[in-house]
Amino acid sequence: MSTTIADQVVEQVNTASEAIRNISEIHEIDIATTPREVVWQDGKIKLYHFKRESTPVAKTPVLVSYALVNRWEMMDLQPNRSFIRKLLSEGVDVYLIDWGYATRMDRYKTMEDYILGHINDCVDFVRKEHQLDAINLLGVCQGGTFSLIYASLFPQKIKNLITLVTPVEFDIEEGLLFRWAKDMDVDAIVDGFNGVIPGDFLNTGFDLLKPMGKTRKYLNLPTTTRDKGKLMNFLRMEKWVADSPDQAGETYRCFIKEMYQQNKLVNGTFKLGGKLVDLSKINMPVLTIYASGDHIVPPAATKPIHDMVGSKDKELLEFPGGHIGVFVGSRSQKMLTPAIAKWLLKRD
Amino acid sequence: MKTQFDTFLEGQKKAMDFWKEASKKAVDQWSESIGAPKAKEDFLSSWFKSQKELWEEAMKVPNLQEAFDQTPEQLQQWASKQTEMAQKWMSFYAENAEKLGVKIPSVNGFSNTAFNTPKAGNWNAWVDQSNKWIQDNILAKLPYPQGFHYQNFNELYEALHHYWEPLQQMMKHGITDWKGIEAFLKPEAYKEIVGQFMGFKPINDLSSMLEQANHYFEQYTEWLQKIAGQPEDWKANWSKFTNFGDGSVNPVFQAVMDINNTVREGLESLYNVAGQTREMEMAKLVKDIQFSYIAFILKTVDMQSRVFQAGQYALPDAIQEVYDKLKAGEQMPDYQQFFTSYINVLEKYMIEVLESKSYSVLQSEVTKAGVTVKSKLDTLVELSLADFPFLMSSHADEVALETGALRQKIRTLEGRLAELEAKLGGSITAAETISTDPRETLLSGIGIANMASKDDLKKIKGIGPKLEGMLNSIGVYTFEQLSKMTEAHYDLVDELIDAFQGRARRDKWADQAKDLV
Repeated sequence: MSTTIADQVVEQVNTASEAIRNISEIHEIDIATTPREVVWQDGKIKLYHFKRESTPVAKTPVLVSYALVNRWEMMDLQPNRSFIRKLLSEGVDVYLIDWGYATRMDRYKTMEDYILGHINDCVDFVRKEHQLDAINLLGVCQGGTFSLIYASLFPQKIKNLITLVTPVEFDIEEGLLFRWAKDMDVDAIVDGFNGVIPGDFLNTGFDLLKPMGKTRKYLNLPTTTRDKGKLMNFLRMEKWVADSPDQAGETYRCFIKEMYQQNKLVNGTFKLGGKLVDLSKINMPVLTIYASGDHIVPPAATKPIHDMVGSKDKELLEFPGGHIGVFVGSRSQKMLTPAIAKWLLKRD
Repeated sequence: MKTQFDTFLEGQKKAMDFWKEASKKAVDQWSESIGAPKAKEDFLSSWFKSQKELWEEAMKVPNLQEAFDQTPEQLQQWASKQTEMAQKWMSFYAENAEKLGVKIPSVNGFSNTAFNTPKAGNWNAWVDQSNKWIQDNILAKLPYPQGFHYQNFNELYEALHHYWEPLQQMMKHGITDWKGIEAFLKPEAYKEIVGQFMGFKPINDLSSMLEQANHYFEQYTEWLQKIAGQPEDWKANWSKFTNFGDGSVNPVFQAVMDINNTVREGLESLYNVAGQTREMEMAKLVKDIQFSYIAFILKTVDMQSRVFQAGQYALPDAIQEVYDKLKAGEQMPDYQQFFTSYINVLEKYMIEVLESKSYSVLQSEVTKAGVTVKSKLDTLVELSLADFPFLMSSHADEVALETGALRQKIRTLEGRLAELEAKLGGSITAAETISTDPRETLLSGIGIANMASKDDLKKIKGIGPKLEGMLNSIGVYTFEQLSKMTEAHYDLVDELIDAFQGRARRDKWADQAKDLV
């Protein structure tokens, strides 16, 4: 490309001018802007109910169980492209569990505590609040794995189950995380970190999945800065990435060992609270959603859910995009959230 | 204080000075040989005049905020004046240069490549500076300091930029073998570039680095042992010790110094308090840290070199790619485009390494060694502060352990409550929440424990590693729990664990455990 100096100068000056304007206008990076209230709380764990202006079309509310890794705000990142907001506008009543930030006090918190304790408490709260025997459960990523376990132990409490980019089959060849986890000395790591796994440690791993990711980000910075909208979304994403909670050590140990390394859910040997977890006991309608370009939870890890559940009414839905695109992409707004709402309403 | 606005103005001024000087030189030279061109009057003076007006207008602004608000418009106006001038200047140059016997390919020949010649240094500086300003200000808005990564990127981008001219030559001629590349780009320089991509601090002289680390730890240990018997001398010794090490820039040595500093922070205020045996324990810990640290360095070097090797192939490939495109008639990419395609190739090769089993194992070992160093340091710091009335990490752990047990106990009680409610006529949660769960019944009888308070159950005759694991999985961890078992509990164990039926009763676990409690 042979641009003249003049072109380059103009380009540069325009970029710089726009950048000055844009940067000077930013005072706050707003995420998670959908109005909500805390309706139940147990220590750090909060249950949100998202406010809505109209009566929900669906009679049965949906409870969202996000992963312990990273924060749920991903589902409400950009005001104009919020997964939660869109779900509300499609007529669904939404509750969400905020896991808070694990600290030293939580080092012995187990998967049993999270699933049989917190998820169960939240499910019971929503059931009681709506005077329903069963409600809808939507699990995201690791939160989806928890939801599957929960739904298999308490099928009578769940009316419909949706899993979003949820790993269940861990013995796969794709996906760097899945490869690395097999060789990981998780005992040394949990004990070495004194039972609290730093969020930064996890982020370092995620960064390595695309080694040039940061470089590309900085390379595009001047262009990004020039566009106010792009700049804000860039900053929102950065804010979210940085806000990576530490992990309760015992839960982390169990998840890496019994899921990633021993693949116990698929082998049918996973026990929680002394009970064997059998996914074929899941009998309610199940919607399994996977992302075709997911490099964190590859389709091969997600799709087997569809075959493992015992439900007669089940559906497998492919989202054309990546792990994060599921929540923030334009296709998520146009295609995915409406599809979820439609599926739920049909089974309300 | 210098504001960003000032920086911009400075950049502008530098740029203008450059043009002014360049134009003056050219005009003077040509004036001598071909007489003053008319064009001089036509555009140069009007350009200077309008610049001057623009500047004067800009300087009138009373306060910084207003100046800031106006800057984008002013810069755009200014840029359009530069464009106008540059175009006129170029056609003027084209018109007159031939008269001087200078052959010009075309006006557009004054292109990107020429832009990067040293003559355009001021321009480059301005462009770089404004880019940097944008990026720095964005970074300031980010929720956590990315300074390290960003600085890394900047250095890297610049480092490779330095080789942009030879790289273009290589692309033009399709030089992709390393011998050819080395003529332009030395292997050490390339290694540094690849290393920086990964955020590595390349370790070049491993043996001397290890020697330094070793020496450091030796002295540290010696020092701890020497003063073990004389707590009153701690203070004097310590301040002497903190001056050891010259804060050399060697990254590994620096890290060792960091360890030292961490410990020092913890120790500074307790010279006269620490007991004798503790120093010995600390000395031992330091020794352990040393070994873990050296293992960490060695494995890190191994890991780095794998990534470097992967990076070797990326540059030739990226050059070849452009060469092929040039042959097919495409244009030479600009630096940013080349950089982008280079990192794409590099990433591809890196992922190949990251996907390999050997890398995965190595990464795990590096992590383990790193985490071990950290964990032992924590212990070292806690030991050094043991006489102070602080709540220590290990105390917090005990509280956490208690809380965990309480959580489990509450769940059991909730279950029993629900069960009772159900029997009494039931509330909404009752029937579904809990059935009669053998595990809960067992634990409510023998008590709750968890893995942190775990005993070695294999000491009980009849319990091997496998059965022990099974017992743990149903919540049985301690001799105390076993000692409380009754016949009814033995039945529950049989109900919960399919294998080893009847063993608990046969081997009288409760009796055996009572002796071990």
